[in-house]
Parts: sequence; structure tokens; C-alpha cells
Amino acid sequence: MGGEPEPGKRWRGRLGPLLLALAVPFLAGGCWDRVEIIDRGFIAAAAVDAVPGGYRLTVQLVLPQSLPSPGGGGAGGGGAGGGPSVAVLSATGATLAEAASRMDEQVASRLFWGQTRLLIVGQALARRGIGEVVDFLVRNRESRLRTDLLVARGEAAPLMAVAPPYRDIPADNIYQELRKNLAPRLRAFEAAIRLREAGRGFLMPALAVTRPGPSPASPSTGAERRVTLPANPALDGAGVFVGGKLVGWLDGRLTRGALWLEGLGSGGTITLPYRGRPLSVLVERAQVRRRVLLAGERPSVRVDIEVDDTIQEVHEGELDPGRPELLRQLGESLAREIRGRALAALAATRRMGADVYDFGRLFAGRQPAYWRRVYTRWPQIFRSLPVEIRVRAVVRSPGRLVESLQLPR
Amino acid sequence: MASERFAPLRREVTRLHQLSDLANEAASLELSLLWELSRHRRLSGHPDLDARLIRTLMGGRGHLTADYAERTVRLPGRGRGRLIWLSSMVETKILDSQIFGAISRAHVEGHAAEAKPVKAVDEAVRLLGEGRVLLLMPGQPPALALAARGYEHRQVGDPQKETSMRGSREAFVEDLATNVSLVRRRVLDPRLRVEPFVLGEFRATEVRLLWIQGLTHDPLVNEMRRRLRSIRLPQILDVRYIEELAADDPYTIFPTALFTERPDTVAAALNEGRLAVLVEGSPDALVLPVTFWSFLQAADDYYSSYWIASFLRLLRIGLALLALVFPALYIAVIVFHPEMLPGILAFYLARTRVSVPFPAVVEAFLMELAFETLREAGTHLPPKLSTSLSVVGALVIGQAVVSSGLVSWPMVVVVSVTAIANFALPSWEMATSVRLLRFALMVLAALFGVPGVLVGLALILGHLCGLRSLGIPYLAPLAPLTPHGLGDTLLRLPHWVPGRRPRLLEPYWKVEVPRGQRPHPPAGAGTFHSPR
Repeated sequence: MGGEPEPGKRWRGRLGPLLLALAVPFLAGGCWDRVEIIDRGFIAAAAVDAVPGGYRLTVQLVLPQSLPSPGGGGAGGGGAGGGPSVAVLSATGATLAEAASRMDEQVASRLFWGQTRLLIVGQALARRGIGEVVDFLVRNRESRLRTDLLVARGEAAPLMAVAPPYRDIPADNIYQELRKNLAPRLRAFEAAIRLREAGRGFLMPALAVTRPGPSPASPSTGAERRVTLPANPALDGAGVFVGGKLVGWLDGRLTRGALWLEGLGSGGTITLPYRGRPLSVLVERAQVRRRVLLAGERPSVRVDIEVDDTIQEVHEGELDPGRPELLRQLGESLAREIRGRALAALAATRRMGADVYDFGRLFAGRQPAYWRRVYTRWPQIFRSLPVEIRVRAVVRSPGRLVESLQLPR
Repeated sequence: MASERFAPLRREVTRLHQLSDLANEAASLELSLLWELSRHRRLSGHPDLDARLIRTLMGGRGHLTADYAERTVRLPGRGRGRLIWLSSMVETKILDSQIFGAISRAHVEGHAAEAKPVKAVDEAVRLLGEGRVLLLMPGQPPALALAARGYEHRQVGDPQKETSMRGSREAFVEDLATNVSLVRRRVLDPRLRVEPFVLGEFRATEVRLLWIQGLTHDPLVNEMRRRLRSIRLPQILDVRYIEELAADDPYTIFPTALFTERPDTVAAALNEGRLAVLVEGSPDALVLPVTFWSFLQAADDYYSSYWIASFLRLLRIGLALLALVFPALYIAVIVFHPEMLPGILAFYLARTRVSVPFPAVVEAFLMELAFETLREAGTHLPPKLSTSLSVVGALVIGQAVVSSGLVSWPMVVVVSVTAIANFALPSWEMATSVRLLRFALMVLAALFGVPGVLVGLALILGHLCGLRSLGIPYLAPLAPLTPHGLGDTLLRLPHWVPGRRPRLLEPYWKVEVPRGQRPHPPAGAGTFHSPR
């Protein structure tokens, strides 16, 4: 409608904003960031060890061309068939960045940290502190902040060379294990947050190589092929850190106990004695409510754990869901078991002065004035912090079977 | 020897040729002069004089058009008249039985449905060209244009471009009168106005502007009239000519008027207070004003369950977006941001590209252009050959190119999914806009990655926000937001939902869906069998 503006005028009015809009992507990133995907060297996982005079970086570099091809067809001769699709590279340097750039010189492709899922820190380096490692990882613009950090029981580099055949990318194997939620996962951004606060404690999943022997040959026919199970890097408890330094270890059982206090216990199986025989339950749901109390200058913490579970396996004996008191008894003994595990984990971390449960953060949020007075002494206070643990466990379902199959006559 | 003997003859032939060319030129000049003179000139009222003028205008001596026919008739009580028609445009039966019959019974004015008095020379010639029979008479009026049109035209058939599962199966044809009747049969409202326009400087074309008086906002009608009248094109062969000259933004890539071949769509639009334009010779109607959402709606939406119609509308919005950005995003992510992909996917995409010798951008453009080529070739091929084209296309693109490692499988998937999404858009015009913008976004993605795509999308969105169709905001009722207009935009609410829909043309829209229409079982009745 209205008078038609001159064509020249129209464009002059619009050209300015158009150029301005096009300037945005020019500044945000441009052709110079362009790297074809086949020119990228994807680092699937990295391991860092301390060596005299610096660091040794060992990585699993993905070799896309040796990944199996879907459907068998296509170009390039398909997959190599079996075997891992990674190359293991190693380089040293005074800093991690230097080691990384030396490694870059070894390969044709440009190393790319955007798909790195795991970063494994060697034990010796962990004792010295993981600050530099996290700094390198978080400062790097390419990396995603969700890289999982793990600590090796021993040197980290050998873990890179272990390739169980379950997945094409060996590191993916460990990652899938981590995802099953029975480990105290620590991502790069979480580590960065925790490191900013002096003396803060946290857990990091620990990794060790399990080397199961060859499977027992079947006794009936000796001619069967003996299957050798491959060596496998497996999660093995957790490392306890204070202020970014490794101060001790928790074994698998204690790690699970520590997870209970953080409300991360669901999904696991707990076996407890029931009338002298073992009985396993599956934890379906675990809810944790944590409250901090301050009486004068005496802090204390109360942890309420509520657990719903399902019976997984009953060995012998009477189990009659028609008798609720039996289920209640079962629940009570389960609660005792959980509480015992949590207390054991608490005792272990107390000895190390590592508040891995972030009770300190609770005080910082609820009692900021108190926290400002005491936060420098918190590790000492934590060693003697009274923690009250209440567990309520309810057996929700007996599983698909109701009664025990082998009822005593 | 022979050539020498014939040389004078040849010279003579050449001279004659030149002479006849000159004569031709002179005749053309004379004719155009005559045309200029005849413009706005009145018929004299002397049939012989007028007939000679018209005959001259139709070619005159030596060039008279072959289908020109002229008879002298005796008009009882008025003397001698002349009857002129073009035999190619007139049904001889009607001419014989009705017109000659009426003339002999002196009932000329009342003989047929159409007996239009004509005064101007140019109008007389135009009507003659349209297939009327001119009756030149002494006195006033000097001529009558009688309807005896009879020529072959396509029968009303199924919609070919906008098919639907349910609903009307009639589509417009090239004949204007038929098209108007198709619409009127569906509107059935005495307030339907069919306003005639004659546009086109060189080839005058009948154009009809349709609207419902009292329903359509008058300023809209006035504006459309103004736009139609200001059109001065040599010829108008299709509604597209009108759309391009009556658009709000002449530079936009988006359609600002809806093209439809369905009379029911036109009727629905008229009932919503919109305008429609029909052009003689065009099997499409132009509907305006329209909004962006009109192009994502199909006639079937109103004829099928509102559940599936609403689902399909949301799906189409997603598909439009997909067709717009999918290849661009693929390029951007592959080349600039592989960290955005789930890990294993990134590695496998890298695997498929190991043997590809081109950068991803070149690969994408190759595939897109190959697809566009196939499509363009397909539209120009006779249907018999199109199967062989698709076989060759599928073999060349789908098999040979990929297995030779020139293009990766994921790229083929991306391009095909995009193409299918594009085909799923109900409006051809919107689909082509999306198709073109896709290439612009691909260039942006290749240069700047995801930020480039986002800026491109922001520019498109900004343009859409500023765009208007006959003054109505293009993104209405979403921007500006009029919540009650949404019932027929993103979703299709049931027909019984009360309220005024759509509110696009508020406050002039006066038809409401009355309350209390939601069906329900009869109260208290548990069963049809009454208890005994």
C-alpha cells in the first residue's frame, strides 16, 4: 500500500542491517574454522601420567576408515574385521598443551578434543593434583565440558592400550560402564567447580585392568575351543580427593556406601542374609533427604534414605507375601545393611578428612554466617561431624514369583 | 549457362519480394494507425461503414483473418444490418437456430441471455475476438454483441496439483465463465460479488474479482481494485501476472497470494472475508490476503478428523523447517562442530566420508544440484519417459555415485529426506521458496557454520515479520499475536468450537460459529431400547 519508494532507497534502508547481520557469523566463527570431518583426529579417550619434567599424554585416536562398514557394501573395502578401530599415540611435554602439540605433529589429521569422553589421570599425577589437567581440558575451546574424569590405580597409559572386543572404540566400553550409574561420575565442569574451592572433597571413579584367565574348558568334551576372556579395564571403586589431590581410595563396596549418602544408590543389587541363606534385592528407587542442623556452634547432619526395592533371588526358606511382617522384617534388615554400608563409607572418608558428600555446601547454603566463620577449618570439623543416618527400606514387590519355590515341608 | 539465362528472372523475383515486403510493412503501419484511431472511437450507426471499419481492423484487404464471417441480414422494422463473427469461436448451431431465428422474428434484444449493446469500436472488436457475434444495426445502439460462443475447452476434472482424500473433486479449468460458476455454486450467497475487469493492453483479458459484500472489509476491496486497475501489461496469460503486479513486496521470495485450483478452497476463503481473482485462460485462482500459515494448510484439513488435521499441520511446520535447514545444518555440524554429534555417530560419519574426494559443501551442492536437475528434467519430459528418467536418476545418484565413493551415503540420505520434506508442503509456491532459500542457507553454513545458519534464519524470520499480503501481516495471527486466531493456524480446532474464526481480518469478520454445538449423547439415555 501507499507510495512506492524508489528502488534505490529501499535497498539503502535494508543493506545496513543486512551487512550488520552477516558480520555476526564472521566474528563468531568463519571459514578459518572449517575442517573437514575426515581431517579431524578424534581423540576418543586420553590418559595423563606424570613423568620427570612434565607429562605424558597417551590417547586413543579413532581411525574412521577401519570402523566396520554398515551393511557390508559401500566403498573402501569395508571394515578391517575385528580389532579395535583406534591407534594409541603417546607424547611427552613440559605442559599438557606441549605434549598435545607434539602428538599433533605425529599424525596427519588435526587432533580434535570435541568428542573426548574419558580422561584418565595416573595415580602419581593424581597425588600431585589434577588442577593442570582440568585446566587444560576446560580451557580448550574444542572440548566438551562433559568429559568424564577417572583416576587409574597405577599408571594411566597402559589402560589406553587395553582393547576389549566388545565395542569398536575401546574407550566407549569404559564410558558405557560409567553410564550405568553405579559410579561417582565426575565431569570436567564439575571438577572445575570443585577445584575452585580450596579443601573441597570429591570422588573420582577409579579404573584398573582386570585380567580374567581363560575360561574353564567344558568337562564333557575336551575338544571344545577354549575361550580366552580379554583383559578389560574395569571400574574399581573410587579415588578420594581433597583440594584436587588424591588422598586415598575407596573399594567398590565403600564407594557404593558413599553413593547412598548422595542418593545415587538405585539400580544396584544388595545381598543380605535372610534366615541363614542369602537373598538378593534390586534397589528400584532411592530417595535421600539431607538436613543440616546447627545447635550453637555444634553442627550436625541428618540423612534420611528411603528405598523401594524388589526381591531378585530367594534361596531357600519361607517367604510368604501374605505375611506382611516377614516383608517388614526383610525391609528392616535391608535398612540395617544400607545404613552399615553408608556408615563404613562415612568412617573411611572421615579418616581422610574428605567431605565427598558436600555436607559443607549444605551448610554454606543453609547457614552462610556459620560457614563463613568455619570454612577454612571444615576438613577438621568434618572429621568429627555427627551424622545421623536413618534408612527406611520397603520391599515393594516379591518379583514375578510370589512364594519361594522350595518351601520347607 | 542455365544460371545466366535465369538471372533476369531471379532479379525480377527478388524485386517482387522486396515490393511485397514493403507492401506488408505499409499495411502493418496502416493497421496500427487505424488501431490507434479506433481506440475510444464510437461506432457510427451505419452498418455498412462500421462493418468496413471492423473488416479493415481484422486484416482488411489481402490479410483478412480466415475465420472472419459476415452476413447481411434484414432486420424487420429497422432495415439492413450486418452480422459479423469469427467462425472459429462461434457455435454454428447456436448461430443458426437462435440468432438467425431471433432476427427473423425481430426479437434480437430478447433472443439470448447475453445481448450486450456496444458503442465503441475497440470494444466491438475485442468482443468479436472473444467469440461474440456482432450485430451492426442502423440507429442506436449501433451494435449488439450476442453470445454464441462455442469452442473446445477442457472439461471440469479432478484437481491435479492439490489432491485430497475427501472433499470436492472439481478443479478450475481455463474457461472463466465455468470457473465463476464453480465458485458461485459453492458460495450460494446473493452477496457474492463478481466484478469484471478487462486488463491487458495488447491482448485484452477478462479478469474477475470475487468477494462477498458485507463480509470482506471494504478497504481491502478498494485496494485490490486499485491494484488491478493500475496493471498495464501487454498481455495477461495467467494469474501469476496479476500476483506479481499486485504484490505488497515486489522483491520477496515468498508467495504473498495463494494459488489454488480448487473452487472449494476459493469458496472457503471468500467466506473468511478474503478476495479471489480469476483470469480467463488460467486454471488457477488467486486468493488474497493470505498469511504464511495458509501455505501449510491443505483442503483435506477441513474434510478429515481434526485430530489428524492438527497433527499434520504441526508436522508440516516441522517439515518446512527441515526442508529449509537440514542440508545446511548437516554441513555446518560436519565441518565446523563435530562435537555436537553423539560420539559414535561422528566417527561413523567420518568413516563414510573417507573415500569422498570433495569437501562436504561441494558434495552437498553436487547432490542438491543433481536432484534439482532430475526434477527439472522430470517436469519437462512427457510422462512416458519419466519412468526411464527415474530409473536412470536412481541408478546414477543412488548407486553409481555412492558406490564409486564420490558421494557419501549420509549425504544421499540428507538430500533425499530434504526433498521428500519439501514435497510434503501443500503449496507449490511455498515449496519453491523454501527450496531456493535452502541453497542460501547452505552457502551460509559452508562459510560460517551454525552461527551462519542462525543468522540466515533470523534474516528470513525478520523478512517474514515485515512482509504483508494486501496489507495484512504475513505471520498473523502469531505476529502480531491474536490468540483467538490461533484456532485455525497451528491446529485445526473442531468445526463446532464456538467463536469467530479466523480473526485475521478483524474487526471486520462478522461470521461467528454459534455456541452450544458440541455434540453429545442424548441426556439420560442409556440405551436405544426403551424399557418395557
